[in-house]
Amino acid sequence: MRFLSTVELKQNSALKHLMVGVILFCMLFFILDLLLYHLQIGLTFEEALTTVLGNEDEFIEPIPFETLLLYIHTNLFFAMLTLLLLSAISTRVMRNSHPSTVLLHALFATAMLAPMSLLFGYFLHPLGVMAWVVLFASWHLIALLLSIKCIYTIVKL
Amino acid sequence: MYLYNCEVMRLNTDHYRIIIAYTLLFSALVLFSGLWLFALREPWSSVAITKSLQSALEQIVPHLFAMSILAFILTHFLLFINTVKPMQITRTASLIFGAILVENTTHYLTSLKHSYAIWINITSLLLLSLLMCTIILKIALDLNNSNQDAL
Repeated sequence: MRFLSTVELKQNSALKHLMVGVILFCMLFFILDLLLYHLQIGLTFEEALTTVLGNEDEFIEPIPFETLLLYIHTNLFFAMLTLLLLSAISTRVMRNSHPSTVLLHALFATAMLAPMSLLFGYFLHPLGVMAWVVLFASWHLIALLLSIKCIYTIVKL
Repeated sequence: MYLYNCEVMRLNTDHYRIIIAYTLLFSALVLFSGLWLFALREPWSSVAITKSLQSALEQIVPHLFAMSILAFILTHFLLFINTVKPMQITRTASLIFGAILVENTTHYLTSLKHSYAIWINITSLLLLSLLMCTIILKIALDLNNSNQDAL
């Protein structure tokens, strides 16, 4: 049994296919996660503010804190898993460069700050909810961009 | 922190350090939000033993996967640290996986109205959190030291 399948990715088309497959599913996850949160909380400022903080004029109650925390808890876990996988593949296939390091920082930082801004918005200031919309959409878009970049690099090898 | 494997040597270890650092932060946040949720549900109150089998399973099923994968991710980082002996990793991993199993089993026991299970549940969760925090700190310290060595 070989625990390390290859030194050169170029010579291993099976591993290349596996990587492309898992990235495609990650991409599908990012797109559907955006859709899910668009339906659950709303990805426009107005919708997100109404769901999280409620609206007195329309008699809409704010989201229960336990539900919000559950969203945050699951989102953090899945973000950690998918980003760990994606970043490990990107580090494996792409060359070390300053832009890729910046992209990596941006990806993880936005994904981590998004749930925190939602908590900030719930307890302190509505601006936090707006920041959540921006950060949440940003990390998904950066992840999608990185996924496309990874697939392009793997296919080009 | 020593990232081994022949091909990894030529790759960007800085990126791996960044990934590990963020993963540690994410793990800490997942742990913290989980404990917060746990406290919100007041598991020590009498409400906890009125839990049905369905609600117990709704908690057990995702957590069996999530907790074990988090434990695996964290403990496998210990393999990269030179100063940690394999036996220590084995013991820590056994304790963590044991605590996960006990924590989840007690959810089932509370659904069978065993009130003592609540306290076993709380103890096992505290032990699990303590172990995970220790691992996170250990890896973070080693990551910090290796960054200073690299400079």
